[in-house]
Amino acid sequence: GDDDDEAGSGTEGGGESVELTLAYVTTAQHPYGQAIDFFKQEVERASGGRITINTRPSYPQPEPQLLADVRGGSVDMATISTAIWDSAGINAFQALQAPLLVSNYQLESQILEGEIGQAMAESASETAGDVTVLTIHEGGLRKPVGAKNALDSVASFRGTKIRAPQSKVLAAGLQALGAEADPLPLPEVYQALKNGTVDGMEANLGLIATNKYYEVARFVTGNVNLWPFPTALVINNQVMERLSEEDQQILRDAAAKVPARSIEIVSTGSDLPQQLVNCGVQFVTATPAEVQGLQARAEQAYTSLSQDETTGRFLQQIQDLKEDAQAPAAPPPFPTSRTGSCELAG
Amino acid sequence: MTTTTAEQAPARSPEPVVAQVLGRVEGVLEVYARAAVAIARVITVGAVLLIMFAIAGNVFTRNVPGFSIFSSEELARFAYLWAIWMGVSLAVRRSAVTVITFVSHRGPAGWQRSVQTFAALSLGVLLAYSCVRATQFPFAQAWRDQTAQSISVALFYALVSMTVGYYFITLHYLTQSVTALRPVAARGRAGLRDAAQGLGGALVMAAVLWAVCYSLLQFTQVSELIVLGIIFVTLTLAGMPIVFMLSVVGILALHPEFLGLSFYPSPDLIAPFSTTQGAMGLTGGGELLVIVMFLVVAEVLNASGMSTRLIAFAAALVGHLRGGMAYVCQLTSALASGISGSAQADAAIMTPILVPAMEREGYRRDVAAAVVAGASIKGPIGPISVMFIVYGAIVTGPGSASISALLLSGVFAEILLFLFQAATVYVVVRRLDMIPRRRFAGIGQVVRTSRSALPVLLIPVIILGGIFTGVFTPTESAAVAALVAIGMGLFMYATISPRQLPDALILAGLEAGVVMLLLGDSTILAKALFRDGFGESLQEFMTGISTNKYVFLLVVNVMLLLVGIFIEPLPALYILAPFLAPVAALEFGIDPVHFGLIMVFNLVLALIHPPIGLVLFLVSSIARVPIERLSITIIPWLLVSILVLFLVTYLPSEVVLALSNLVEH
Ligand code: NA
Ligand code: NA
Repeated sequence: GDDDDEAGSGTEGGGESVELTLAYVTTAQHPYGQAIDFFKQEVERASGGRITINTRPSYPQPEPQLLADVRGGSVDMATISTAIWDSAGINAFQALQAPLLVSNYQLESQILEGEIGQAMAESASETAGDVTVLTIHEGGLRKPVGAKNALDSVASFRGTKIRAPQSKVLAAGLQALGAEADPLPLPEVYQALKNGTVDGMEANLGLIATNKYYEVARFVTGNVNLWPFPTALVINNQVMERLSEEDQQILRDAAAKVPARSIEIVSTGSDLPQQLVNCGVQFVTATPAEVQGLQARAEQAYTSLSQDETTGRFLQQIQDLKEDAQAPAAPPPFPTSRTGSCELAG
Repeated sequence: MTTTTAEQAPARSPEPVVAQVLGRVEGVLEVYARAAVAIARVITVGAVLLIMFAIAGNVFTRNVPGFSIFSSEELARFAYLWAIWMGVSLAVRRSAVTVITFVSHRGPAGWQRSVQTFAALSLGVLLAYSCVRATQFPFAQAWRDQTAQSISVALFYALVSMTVGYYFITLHYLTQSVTALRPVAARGRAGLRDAAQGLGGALVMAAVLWAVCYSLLQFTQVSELIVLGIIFVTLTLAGMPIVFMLSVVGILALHPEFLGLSFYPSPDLIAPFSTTQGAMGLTGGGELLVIVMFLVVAEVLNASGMSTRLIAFAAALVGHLRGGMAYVCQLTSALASGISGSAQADAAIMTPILVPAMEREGYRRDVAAAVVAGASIKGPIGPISVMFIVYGAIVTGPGSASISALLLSGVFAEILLFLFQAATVYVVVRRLDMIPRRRFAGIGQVVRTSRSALPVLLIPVIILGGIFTGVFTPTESAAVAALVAIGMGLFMYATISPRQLPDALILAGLEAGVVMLLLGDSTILAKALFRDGFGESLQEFMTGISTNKYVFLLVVNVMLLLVGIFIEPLPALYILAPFLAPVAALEFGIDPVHFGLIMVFNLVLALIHPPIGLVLFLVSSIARVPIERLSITIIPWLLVSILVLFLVTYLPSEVVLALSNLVEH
């Protein structure tokens, strides 16, 4: 708007030191935080310490507000879950989280590190007009988590209320599966699972462990990955334009390395599944017929999501890529019995 | 005809032209202002009802399968935004916003004129600026294409509540200013001279304030936060309404540059406004809906005469003790804290009844007023407490604590406070030694009054029972309690008519608006501090002082008492808790629930802490006791409360949290 020229006019030359603030809503230990820490170190290393990234985890307001704040320029940089972008009218990332489409990390890294990811970033930047998406990185595939019943078939999803972050694409996905999305704020989810306000949620194992959802929601469908949970690393355009060509390139190069690192972070095997079982989680397995049933319902979502031209184009590209790709090796089975007492509590 | 009038005019010494013009302007403004009031009243009542039914409806639909009000939480949040802004505009119209007058209405006339003009001009600048930005906000690039999440409307309809709110607020102040200026103009030259003097004085004050801030920022290492504090205190003392002070500080904090002053600059001029609106419910913050619903409970019960019944019951029970009315006050405040979450509400209920009653018993009025003020701080501590619910909601991640455990820890603190305050009454009464003993009213009277008073205690049972059994979320329990309170007032006691109900709801909306605007605006400063890495600095500062947890707690105690002198408890909690709680938990190993209790109790004391204590101002104005007197007679009650604070802080967690641990595990 008209006020843009009131912004600070300090132009940094190539040799000057630069400080950038990068905010995000999760803790520093979350996969988002770990990937951002990697980015920070890459930038600081490549610039010989000339560019400092001040990371600010646990942003005091929700992601839609953070997106508005980085667009307005009150924060320089941010990483913001792709799921919430469509509420701001930016649909470039929707295809990434269409239900049961990007269901393994191998496919996801091909997308994020390849042309599709690049095109999505460019499309989002263009629609927004005030931020540049530097890269997309991953936070961990989401599985259905049921409080009182397992969510492993079309029948089990029917008529349920499932907590999901504020997102049109996730809501469309759940609707296709026969459920209704409830964008309950995260602090209220534990109680809601306990008293039945919601029947389940979409979550990754880390989230279940951190917030002790295993106390109130026992059933995790191990072999169904609903969608990935990517996040877009962005920089405000005015901030970007104030940087020298060289510094801009340093940021872009460092950002390009983040997706691979993020996939590494989330896909590295850990004893978390066993620990969750020790804390009462029961991993259930959907039968091949049940999985097929869910996939058939998911296809309906692809049709409805494709009404948006951008989403439709990216959906098609991802489907083509998935068809050409080899099915990944089956992941190791989830543990079924306790090996000790629950150590996640306290 | 015309000639005659002109010839006669000098003899009647007509109103000067300026005054005539002002009179006409006032007339026009008044028409618009009344329309704004009518609109605001309708919207407030509608919004508050919508919030209650949407949230309580959630409870219903959860238990009645196959029926669903979709997206009720988001609908309630958007309605809340409208209730808040219309409520604030009504508060402004009724002059129900707190203004500190002990500087601006004392001393030589010239000084008073200057201070008042300075405050009025500052407010004018703020409102003009806010109207412009609040108009741009819904059309800003980052906001204009946003849609609501679960209800299919453009976010615009929620955003624009702020725009309309600022227009209405400005309209009311403009009308008031013209009304105030008219008599000045009517005095002709003399009035003009006074006005010029006031304006001159105001400009000098502004220049001095600017020069002090500019030099501190330019030539010293003083933290930006201190300079903002100086501006905050100066404008507050000058008599700018407290409700707008955090807005001033927040806007200045983020502003790129204002007359050479720059604090935590951000190029985004909309950010302060979107941040406030976001915190008040635009992008979350549904837990803050409890505030308006607790206020509905308190206002409806108050309007239906419930508070008088509580006092009658307390009087029947302990009124016969020597100095009985002071004990009645203690008991009433404990009972009332079960239906209200705020000290101001309790003080407003108790002061008009109990201060005269104590006076009749032989207490000096300033002593009696202090007893009431001291007792009323039980309101926000237990068992129903907005402070704890907000703490539980805003502190996430390390240091987070469950709301039900926090509420129970408050009950422990409240019992301690009750015992110590009652003991103080005992000591004071013995020293006064002039109050006659009365006869016990008799069991019959106790039973009679309890029958009429105690059903109201069903309300805390619903709220706490709902929260502890997990049947309701805190927000839902508050909505159910509000509906039950309305039901009681309308049908059970039949002391409130359906026609009176809107006034009670408007009062609740108005009070909620004032609280929420402070909370929303406090988020701006919190965000500026967050961006600046305040959390890390605070952690380094605290661990740098000592690694001993008791030293840390002492620093926290003193710091919060100091902060509380100037900032209301709830906004102070909102700004500081997210920074302090993780440090307490991670660096000093303090139990998160215990630390939550310490922070809340500590900040609540600010309400009775001179020189700026909001409960002191309220009681002083209702009981007509000069604030200077009350600031002295409150001291024993403040000291006893600080003693309880130290007990609550330094007793082992096992003792303080015994009650919470009992229920939680
Ligand atoms: Na209370
Ligand atoms: Na105070």
